[in-house]
Amino acid sequence: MTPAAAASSARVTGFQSRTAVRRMGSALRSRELPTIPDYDVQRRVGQGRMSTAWLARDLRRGGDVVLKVLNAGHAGDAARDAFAQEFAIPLSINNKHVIRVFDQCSTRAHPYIAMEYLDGGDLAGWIRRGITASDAVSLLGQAAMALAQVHEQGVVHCDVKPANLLLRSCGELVLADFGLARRAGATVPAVRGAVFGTPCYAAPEQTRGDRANFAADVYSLGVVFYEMLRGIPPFTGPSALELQCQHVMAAVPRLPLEFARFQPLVDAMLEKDAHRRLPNGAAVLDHVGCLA
Amino acid sequence: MKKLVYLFVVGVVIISAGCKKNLDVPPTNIINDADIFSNVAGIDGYMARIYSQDFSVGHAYIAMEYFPCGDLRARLQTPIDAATTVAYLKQAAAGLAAIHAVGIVHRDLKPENLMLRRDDSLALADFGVAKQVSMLITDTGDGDIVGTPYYISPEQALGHAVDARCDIYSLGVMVYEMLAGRKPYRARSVRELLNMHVHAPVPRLPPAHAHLQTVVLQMMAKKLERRYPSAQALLDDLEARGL
Repeated sequence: MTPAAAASSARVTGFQSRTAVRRMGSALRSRELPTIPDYDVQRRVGQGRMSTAWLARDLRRGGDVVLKVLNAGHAGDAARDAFAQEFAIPLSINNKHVIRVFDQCSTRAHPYIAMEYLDGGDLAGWIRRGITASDAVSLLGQAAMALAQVHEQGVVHCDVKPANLLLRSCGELVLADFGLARRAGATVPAVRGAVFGTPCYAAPEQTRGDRANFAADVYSLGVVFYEMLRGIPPFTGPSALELQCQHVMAAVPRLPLEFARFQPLVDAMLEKDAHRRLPNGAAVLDHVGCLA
Repeated sequence: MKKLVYLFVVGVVIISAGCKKNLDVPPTNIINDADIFSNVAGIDGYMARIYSQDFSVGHAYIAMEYFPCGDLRARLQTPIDAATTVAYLKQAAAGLAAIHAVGIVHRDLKPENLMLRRDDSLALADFGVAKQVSMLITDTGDGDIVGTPYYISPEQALGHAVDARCDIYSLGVMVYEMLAGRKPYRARSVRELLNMHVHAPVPRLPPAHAHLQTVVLQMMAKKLERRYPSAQALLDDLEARGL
């Protein structure tokens, strides 16, 4: 079969390319426990296209850590650069609402990042179980605090969503996963062909590959806030394309009367025009302060 | 790896188990969906034929008819005359009538998933499976990340309730494109484009195709109650017009 025919049949099936299939295959292979010096790897706690997360015991410092290990098939320079920034950005921010990273290694067979293990699960699980309005405001404030710090460093997170907002057992919220983060004003993601944000949470301008801006994070956090209040996100189109259209065009559904006091903040965060939206995490924090 | 290549030969959807978290749909569900489609496909030639499907340790796969002639997007590179357009329209409408009859709304009809056979007959492809896969936003490097909503209905753009009539709108956009040789709505931004779907009048067809203007208008009507109520109603109207 010629490469052109292969590409054509891949299109029939809805896949972007054979590369996508190959990457999925490589994600499958990362099932066996990796051997990493100084860590006792115990079990898998997460699986992404680019990396796999393992719970491990840190044999030098003691205590549990999460080891995020780059999947085989992502050994290229671009993937390693993205992986390096996933370590460097949180390392440069000292805030209790931004995930702590301890250690990294980019040269061995299994490039990894060692980071804080959060035993409270992610916000997606908490939303499924139901969150009170006062908790939602508190969690929003903590996420805004994290974003304010990140934005102050000139960095846009680019992937704010419940799965990347983790909780400590004491209830503190932590912003994690800087794999898609970019310097403000940068146009392209570090990894060409990388999954770029999550359609349910991506700002209208984000899905077009516009320059990264702080307001895009504010929009995503607005979606998360709405979801904490209502249990479902404001837009639920069945495909990425339909979701994108809804983010661009569809009116934000009104909150029920009991949440009416949050409507101005939700509207200011979910403003379609990035220039008229709350500009950054600090601005959200100011508004949350007024609610309390 | 040998298996992958072989499956490509027949044209296949492969969903790896490792990917299912991203898809947010367990592979077994996808296979259930495929069951529905294969039932539809079994009784009707207007659908891509599904030969076999399996969910094994590593992969869920569907072996689907392969289309060496490619899709309508490729066919649009060369002019399509009115008679051929009507023939394609009738077949696509019959395919839609069949899937709508079993309660499936396609929601993402576009030239890329209208496939052509060697005998110039046309088949619908890409149902739920492909849509789940497309939930992964992939940057293709040209800045157009999700795809451009040239064929989306006004009600989908607005986030309103959607029924089978959205597929008729999308098909109407394609009929316009086949007849006029260009898309009815083009814009520099997604927002502008969606605004046109919602507000801009349907442009006139070239004079040679004026007899099809009413059909296109009624397919692309912005108000749901002015649009053909069903694919079957569209087929009946074409019949009544002697097309």
